[in-house]
Amino acid sequence: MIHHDVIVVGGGLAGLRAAIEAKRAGLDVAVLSQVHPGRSHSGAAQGGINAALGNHPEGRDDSWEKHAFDTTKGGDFLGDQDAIVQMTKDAIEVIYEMDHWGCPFSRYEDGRITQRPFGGAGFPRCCYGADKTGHYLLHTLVEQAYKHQVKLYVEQYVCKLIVHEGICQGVVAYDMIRGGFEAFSGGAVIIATGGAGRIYANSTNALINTGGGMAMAYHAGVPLKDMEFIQFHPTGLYSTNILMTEAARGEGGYLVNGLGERYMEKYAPKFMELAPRDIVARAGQTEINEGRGINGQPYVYLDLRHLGAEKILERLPGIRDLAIHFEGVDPIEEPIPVVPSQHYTMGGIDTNVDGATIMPGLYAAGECACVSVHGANRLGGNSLLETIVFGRRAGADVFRYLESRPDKRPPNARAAFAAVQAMEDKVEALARAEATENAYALRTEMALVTKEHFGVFRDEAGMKAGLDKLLSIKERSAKVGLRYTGNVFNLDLIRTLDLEGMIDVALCMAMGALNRTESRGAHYRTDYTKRDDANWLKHTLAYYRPGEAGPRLDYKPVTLGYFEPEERKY
Amino acid sequence: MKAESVTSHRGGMWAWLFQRITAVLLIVCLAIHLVFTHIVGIGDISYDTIGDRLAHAGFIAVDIILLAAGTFHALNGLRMVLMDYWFTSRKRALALTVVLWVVGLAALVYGIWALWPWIS
Amino acid sequence: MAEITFRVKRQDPQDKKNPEAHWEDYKITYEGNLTVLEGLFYIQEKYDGSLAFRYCCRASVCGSCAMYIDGAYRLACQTNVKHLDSAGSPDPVVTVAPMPHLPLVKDLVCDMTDFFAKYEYIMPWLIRKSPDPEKELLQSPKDRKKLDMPIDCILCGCCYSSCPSVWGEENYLGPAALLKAYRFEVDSRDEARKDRLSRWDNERGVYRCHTIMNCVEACPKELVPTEGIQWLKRAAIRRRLFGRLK
Repeated sequence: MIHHDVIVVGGGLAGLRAAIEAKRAGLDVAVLSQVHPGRSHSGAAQGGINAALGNHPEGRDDSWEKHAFDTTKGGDFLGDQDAIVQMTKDAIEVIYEMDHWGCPFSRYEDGRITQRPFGGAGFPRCCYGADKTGHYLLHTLVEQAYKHQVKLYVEQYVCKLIVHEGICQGVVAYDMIRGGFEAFSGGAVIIATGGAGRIYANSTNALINTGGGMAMAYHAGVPLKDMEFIQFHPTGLYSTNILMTEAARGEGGYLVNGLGERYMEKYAPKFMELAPRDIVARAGQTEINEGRGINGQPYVYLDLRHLGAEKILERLPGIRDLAIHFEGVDPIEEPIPVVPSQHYTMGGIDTNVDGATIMPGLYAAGECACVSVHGANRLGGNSLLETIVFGRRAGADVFRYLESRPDKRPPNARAAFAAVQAMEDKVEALARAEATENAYALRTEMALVTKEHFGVFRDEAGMKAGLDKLLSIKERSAKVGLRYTGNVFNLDLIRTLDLEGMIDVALCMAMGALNRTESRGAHYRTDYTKRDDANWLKHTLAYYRPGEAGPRLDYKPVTLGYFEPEERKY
Repeated sequence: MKAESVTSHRGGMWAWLFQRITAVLLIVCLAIHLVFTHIVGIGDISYDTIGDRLAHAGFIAVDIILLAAGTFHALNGLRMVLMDYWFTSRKRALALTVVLWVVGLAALVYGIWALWPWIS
Repeated sequence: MAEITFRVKRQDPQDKKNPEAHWEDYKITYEGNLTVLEGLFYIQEKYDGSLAFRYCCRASVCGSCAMYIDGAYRLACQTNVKHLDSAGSPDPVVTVAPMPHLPLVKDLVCDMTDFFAKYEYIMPWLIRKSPDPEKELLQSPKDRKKLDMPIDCILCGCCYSSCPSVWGEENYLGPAALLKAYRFEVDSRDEARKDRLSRWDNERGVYRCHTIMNCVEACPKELVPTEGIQWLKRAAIRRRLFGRLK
């Protein structure tokens, strides 16, 4: 058993920021990650990070209040406004902090950080480093983690929480390099494992974004909040769903349909291509569904040609490379074929504004958590911000928690050994099982069901059919087994263990969506097209029911107090 | 990798810098040397003509610089190559460096001794 | 439907019965495009669950899946089999091997411990001496431009694996770590004087680089580590002889 004061699961922006904060407070911190932290999916973020710095010439009148309002409105008023205000206030400070740590933001002539317009924002407030902002931020935090000597356990697949007497006391991890399960005990655990994009077949996310952290917390009894709100990014590459940043439109790119029209005129005449993502994604999907895709094909064009080679090479070099490598299209010469693609899970582990969950000792931050600041639809540039702001807050609160808790006994060793034993038994059973189902086939099937039945447009009949399919997949998933039982770098083991959590997370999403009889933000139902504040201005909570197929759903009110819900127009 | 295994090889800057400086000196001095041996004095190479040329202080200087730079450049180059193979540890690298310095200085002294009649 | 053979170098040093490296062939059928990474998943799912390889973003930004494919360093996710030399042949074969000259964990997974130890050793973080301003540290676009090349490094390890100086001297820091040192030393905001200098200004640091340029050829992001290393050599002289920081 390995002990540290704090165990952080996940080495992306949220996890590293939390670890650095806790370490600076004097705690002994370890980060466990399935990949080297520098390879985390945060690094794939492109466009930028929002903060009302007012550096852009047209952004002088910007303020954190306006940022908070845009975020609230963008999220269709489902976000908790106290959390949103906290985030937009902290935003300015954390950006300067990242800059002081060496993050290579792009610069204006006077040396200040550049900002660009982004979707749903009243002012250009998205701070960026070319179109590789996530990569730059991530590497800056990796560097700081090394500087502060945060202990990194790399290539550890964390699969279970250690819970003793209702308190979280650590995790069990599969050591991919040395093999075997090991208990990592700690006074507190911070889950920062990112989103669950891979429950969809058409995701922009990394292949490791399977929602493992959400599933771990869920299985330990912590509710998942607002899981039905899945963001579809308007511009994923047609063939691979690889992300084409919103910055492409922020810099002036057009969305064009098969008739050569800038179709956003019809959907958001004022904001055009820079309306919030849910609206732009629905617009694109409508064009495709109504046969106005390019040559009748199911995609539209993202056209950057009018920006000119110089601007593309300076501001958008990363997506140009991606378009060339993965679509065979050079955006300087040709428009890029794009489709709406699953991009972000607004929902996640239910936390308060300091990242604490209902379970003492368990924290969550970043995409795997739901504070909630994004409400029903996240604005571009707010996800990077969320990771850093709430990672930092979680790291600080862990210190307060460890100082203040009355019971200072070390973590219970027996509980840790029992948890390791439980994992070993599980793997043993999988190895012995006479598999009649194939885990990979089930995963693919599940991802296609979510894509088909819980996509941009949803309705009762479709979702019911989808839910039935998911339930049957869940049943069949009990019959999978291991094909390889080696110790070292056993991908068969990891990918098989992933399956249960992925299906459970998908079920939370599906049941939450089916239950919510309204359209709000990214959750759009063709049978209930209006937002229904009277009945549905509330968060969904999904609780795990051991032995049952799906979650128990509960609801809790949204925290208002700053802005009254109004109709969204862009 | 151990931290001390990197720092044990201190310096290196002077070796690198002088490799560059000697390279430039070689180009210049070798050019002068070749021009005066093969172009200006073409068809007339004998002990006496060379002796006459070496009577000029400038030529002596060029030849001594050529000798020193060439020796350093060659032996340091050899040292860089050998350090990639057997002479990797600090001890061996140090021993190699000392031996090469002795060889180099010996060559230099021998060369200057050969030129001594004109120097004096 | 197209068909292609993947010839994969397999080795499990833990396997007592068969610890040696060997090649195995797998037939893959696909429609449209196929990246090498997709091919590896196909093998892992359909033929052999024991195949080990690293993966993450599948969009060439994370640096996980660096391999030696058809005799060149490539990112598996970024490599479309149609762009390989074998593509034209009626019976195409793609060879996939782990990055050479690195210790092996299993199959296509190399041990990157030393690689990251050297990265850490170089002190890869911004060193500041003066107090932080209230707002951002100002940096001109001209100074920022100097960072464009080195900050794009994804730490995939291709350059490190390809460098003959690393093969000859296991303690040589290698191109990636030195490029990282360059990234900070060249940064106008960095105030390190001798903090980092002693770590790279020696014969297991920059002077071990013999400008062989394998790293430049290997880099899948088309970076030029050698340029950074040469800059560092000049910077050492500026700093030690003339006391100038940049």
